[in-house]
Amino acid sequence: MPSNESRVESRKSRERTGSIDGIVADEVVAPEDPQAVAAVLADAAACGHAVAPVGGGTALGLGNPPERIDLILSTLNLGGIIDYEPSDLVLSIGAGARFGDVQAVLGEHGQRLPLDPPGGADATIGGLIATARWGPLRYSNGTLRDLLIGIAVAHPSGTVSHAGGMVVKNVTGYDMPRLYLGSLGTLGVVVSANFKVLPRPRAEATIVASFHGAEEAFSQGNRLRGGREPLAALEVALVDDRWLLAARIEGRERTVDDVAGRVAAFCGGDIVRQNGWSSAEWWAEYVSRQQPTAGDHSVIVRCGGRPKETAILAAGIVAAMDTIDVAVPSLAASPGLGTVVARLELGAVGSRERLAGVQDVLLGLADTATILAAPPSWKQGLDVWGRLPEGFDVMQSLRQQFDPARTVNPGRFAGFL
Amino acid sequence: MDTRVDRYSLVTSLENIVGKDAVFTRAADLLVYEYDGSVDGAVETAMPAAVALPTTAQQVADIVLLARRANLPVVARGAGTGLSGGAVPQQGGIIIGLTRMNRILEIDRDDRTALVEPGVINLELSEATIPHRFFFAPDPSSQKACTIGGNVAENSGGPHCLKYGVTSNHILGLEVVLPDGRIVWTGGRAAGISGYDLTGAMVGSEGMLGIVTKALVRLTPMPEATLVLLAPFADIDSASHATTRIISAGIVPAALEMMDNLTIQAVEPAYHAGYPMDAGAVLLIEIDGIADDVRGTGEEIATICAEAGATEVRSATSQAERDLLWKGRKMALGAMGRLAPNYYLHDTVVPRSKLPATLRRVDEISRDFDLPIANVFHAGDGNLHPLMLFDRRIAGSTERVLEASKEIITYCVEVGGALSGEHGIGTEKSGYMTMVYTADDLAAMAGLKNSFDPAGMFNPDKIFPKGYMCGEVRALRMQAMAQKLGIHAL
Amino acid sequence: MAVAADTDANLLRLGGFSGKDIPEDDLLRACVHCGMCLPACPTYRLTGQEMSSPRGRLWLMRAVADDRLDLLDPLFDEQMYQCLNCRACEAVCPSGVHYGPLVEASRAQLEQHRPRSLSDRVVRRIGLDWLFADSWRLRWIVNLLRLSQRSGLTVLARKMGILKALGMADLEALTPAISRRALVPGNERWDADLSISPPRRARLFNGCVMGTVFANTNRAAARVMARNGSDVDVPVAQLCCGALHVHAGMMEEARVLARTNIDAFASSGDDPIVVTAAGCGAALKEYGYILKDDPAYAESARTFSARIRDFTEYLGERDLVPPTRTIRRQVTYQEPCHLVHAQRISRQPRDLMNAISGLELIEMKESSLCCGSAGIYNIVRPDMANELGDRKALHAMETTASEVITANPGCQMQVGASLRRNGSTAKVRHIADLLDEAYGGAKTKRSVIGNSAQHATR
Repeated sequence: MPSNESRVESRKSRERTGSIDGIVADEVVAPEDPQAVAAVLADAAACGHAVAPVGGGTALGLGNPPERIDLILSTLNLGGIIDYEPSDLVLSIGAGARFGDVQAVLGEHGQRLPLDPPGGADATIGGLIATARWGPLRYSNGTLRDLLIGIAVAHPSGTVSHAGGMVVKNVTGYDMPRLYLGSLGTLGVVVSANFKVLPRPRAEATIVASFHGAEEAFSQGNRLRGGREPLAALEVALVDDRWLLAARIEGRERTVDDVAGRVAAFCGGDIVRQNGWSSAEWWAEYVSRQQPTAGDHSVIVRCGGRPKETAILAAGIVAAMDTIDVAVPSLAASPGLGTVVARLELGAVGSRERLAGVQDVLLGLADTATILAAPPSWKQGLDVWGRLPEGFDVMQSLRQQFDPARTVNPGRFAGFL
Repeated sequence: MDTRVDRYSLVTSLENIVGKDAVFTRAADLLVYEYDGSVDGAVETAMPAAVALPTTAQQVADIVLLARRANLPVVARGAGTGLSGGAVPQQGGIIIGLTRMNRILEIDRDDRTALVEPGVINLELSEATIPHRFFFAPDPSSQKACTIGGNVAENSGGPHCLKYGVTSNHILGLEVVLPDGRIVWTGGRAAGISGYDLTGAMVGSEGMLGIVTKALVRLTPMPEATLVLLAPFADIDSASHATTRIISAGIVPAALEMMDNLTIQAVEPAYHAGYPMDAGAVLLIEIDGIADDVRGTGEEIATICAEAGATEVRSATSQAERDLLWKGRKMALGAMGRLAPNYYLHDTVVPRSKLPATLRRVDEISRDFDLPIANVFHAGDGNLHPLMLFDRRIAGSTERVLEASKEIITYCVEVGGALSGEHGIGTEKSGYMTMVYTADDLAAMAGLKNSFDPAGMFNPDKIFPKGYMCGEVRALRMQAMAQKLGIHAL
Repeated sequence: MAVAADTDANLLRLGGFSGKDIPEDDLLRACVHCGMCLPACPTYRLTGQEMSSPRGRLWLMRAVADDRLDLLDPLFDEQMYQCLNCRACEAVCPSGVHYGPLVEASRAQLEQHRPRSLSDRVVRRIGLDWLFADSWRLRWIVNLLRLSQRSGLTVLARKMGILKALGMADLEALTPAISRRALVPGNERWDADLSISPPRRARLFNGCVMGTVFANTNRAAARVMARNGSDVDVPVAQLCCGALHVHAGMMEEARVLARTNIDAFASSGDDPIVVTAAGCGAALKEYGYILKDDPAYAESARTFSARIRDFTEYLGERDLVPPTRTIRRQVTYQEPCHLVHAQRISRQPRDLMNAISGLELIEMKESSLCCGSAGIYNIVRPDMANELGDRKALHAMETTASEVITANPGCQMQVGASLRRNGSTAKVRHIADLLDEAYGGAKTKRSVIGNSAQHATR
């Protein structure tokens, strides 16, 4: 669709150098087509060089500090829409496309990707796939995992492989798109992806109820979750010493109005209602708290456990951090999912050892604990991904099969793969 | 034990693992393990060397270890209702039948999960969770018989996956026996488990990567309201146009099914579902959600259908009325017996906007091959099920059916479709893989296979074109070496 | 476990179907092995093994037909007789495979071609041929039994294995239920309640066990039909329906019985023939099939079969006269396989129960899964039968109903015994007895229109 092409046009990368976690690469390349990406990777593999793919740069702090970087591979020149058939509700797009631009094009046809990951509009499609991050909309819409129907990946072998396609239901061979999702480039660099897109809801509203204690917020939240009201997102958050219960409602105008009214009445107390654009803005700001701010010493962690024990996990984190003198200025819990994302302040006395201590405490409380962001020096030697997953040796074989020379992002992924 | 395990010691070893009454090695017993649900002729039948029916994951692991020592392939099998030959052993070996591992271990209402063994029957899981007002969303047409383990292996769909997604969207974690005999968990209740998404890789891998011994599945809350609409059209063309218009209007029904006239001719006299016998096609559309939304969406769909030429739009809200409308659809396959003794149910997918053209092409092929083809399928997601009717007693008829199906596949691929939407590749379509995938694409899949099962022990000769995985290890690594030897693009 | 070598030798000694009653090839090949029958099959549910499934058994038959499996392979024998012939698979088969006739023909093949042990033959001859082929003998035995139960001879009889051999091991538990007086065809008739119009006429199929052990149930059924406007009589010269013979593959013996019965009912025009035993009903409805190759009887057998109605089916054809009594009771319903699967009758019994005021029908889980009775199955294969019986009993007990209602004598005995084995005091009753109670029973003058032993039939 050429008319769209211009809207999501490639933004040429002009950087000459780049760095990740303080490790500087001498060279930045921005190939313009998938084969060129594969060629860059193959060349690097042959020379034993390490490559770090970079998209919008919104999640560069994710992962362990790279062992080394010789080359930054920018995907920003791979940004165009490859195919978009609004009547089929499917989209094929280059990895370098900016998420915000994609949403804008889809929006013109009343469609969207129902995702609200931290990093938001500036993240690229490739980056979102590599990091597999999600936001509160996961409550109703799932994640990229539920939308990704096809993929093209450039491998260090010099090849570009495709999997899946442009149909919404497909069992033709292994489900490779899911394998690449969240693999941080370690199996290859995503060059384009196909999605099923969904109709944009006609209206939305958000109800935010404010409580003094976590217990009350969670118990109301759990009751909402167990009830029959259709919610797009449901979060319990600690913001500025207040516990908030936030419910996002999407759908037809009348339904949204009715449901919002009922949810507000149910929550009682101190209620703020946001409608339409301001509802969307509220959530954009909400997830932005889960992004590191440049230059500060924030640590952002994400813990996961059983959904029904989210309240216990959140309370446990607050209490445990208090005992080791770590402040928790903000925290976002998803009762439907069992996750808690917390911003931690280790203060000026932060160090590698203290961060390791925090991780130990968190792993004692939760099934999963990932350090999403932390000052690079504190991360040294630590596996920020937390517990080594079961079947890790299969993962090692995968890395060995797809990238035997560990060309892409050496050391950054789980278990320093 | 030596690399070569003789028959006698194989039998006794298997009996030591699972007990005498769970091992079958007599040729007569093995006869009944040489088929699955796929059509004779489309899939070669083949006998295993032994069948074992374990009851625990540890037994599965022990059998895998034994097979490894004996250098025998292993094929996992559920209810054997598959339609692509996935459970039919191609190189003999040991069949691990998981039918005796059929317990629902836990239903957790608060976490909205169920922990089940692989032999649990799909529909029985939903029946067990409905009292808690939950259901297991994937609902393949064989759901009365097929097992969760089989659903995982094939990444099964069903009418309601239009809204709720396929099996993969509902599997949170798997306990898996790997080809080296270890038992590992992939995924789990908690979000954010590190590393690669091995659960995602396992689902739809057709038993080639590991054997599922437990599945942690997501349960879906029952909708507050459900509405079923029946819209008859004068011809297939207008019905398929209505379908694309509903989808492009941004409506996502729970299910959107189409039946053509030939299907109606078979179904209506058998079940009296109320489909007009003179209709060229009917659409069966289900909408669910909260009552207000359902009503509003129903009206919109009715308007679209009327504009697209529906002769009427009937709606059913009560359970009994809805069941009757659905009965014709769900029993359609069975009713085909009224038209011909045999049928070959095909499974392809096309982009939804290509439905009208594809159905026209199917009609042409039907005439070219002088082969009645009924269409009863998941129109909402473009998942075609051309049903070729034939009598296999007539010499050459099976071959004609296979030729016609090749024509259909070729066309579907040409318009941007896929080989299979929900039945899998197995051996039925492995020969067609090169129609949609390049050598590089297949090499990436081989890379996944080799990471789990470098010896090719689990379910050999499936998915990949015959001979593809033989001898040499096909993978990116090898190609990478070639690159290292000096073939650089830059 | 046999080692492979014997097996292969077995396979070489091929012998397909031959002689009479060969499983019909077209019926056999209608199976496309889709597997939809698996969960409906009781033996598959218990074993989880493919050879114990309908699909597996059909495949084995096909293998014999194709000379890939010896007819006399022990597996074939085992599977053809492990099958309960409950027909649950037929009811769910998308391709409409007629499984029953196929397994019956396979058994007939085995009967013809296999050498049987002497004791086996003696028991079968006594049990099926000698006993059931003559209604006087059965009546005599049942009287003996009733007497023996009262006098303590049962213990002796059980020790001697007589009860077991006769397929009546559970009779002891039924002492009060055994009718004191057999219903002798021709000796009793019931006149229609004349206030119900138009009047109808029905012929009661008496059968063997129903006419003796459960004679009172047949009387109850007749009273209920009379109350609903039907003259009922019990034509003379009728015999056992032959269902057990068909199930056992004794097709010739079954045909003899079938011809006798067809003749016995020939003079009653096209009056419906009402059956109170689901197993008999299913068999009678298949006379047309088993005699299709008999030029003298093919036509009359078809007509005969078309006249057959299950008791509940017959009542369901007209609006029911509302039962007069309120019965405050919780009951659950056990569906006889040969009613729900073979005859596809499932709604009518429930409608009848729901017509009784005060009665609460609580559905049990798996109400249509075989209880394990299956003709003489519970005698031949007590292990599998007991397992199914226990499963049935536990489902029935979960409902907390005080009575289990069914519509077949075999089920009545099997479920009764299973309930007691599992410590339940719930009663098992035939639906005719329940309805009769709801109409006031035998003591209510209004419903006892007439029961003279002096009446001549016809």
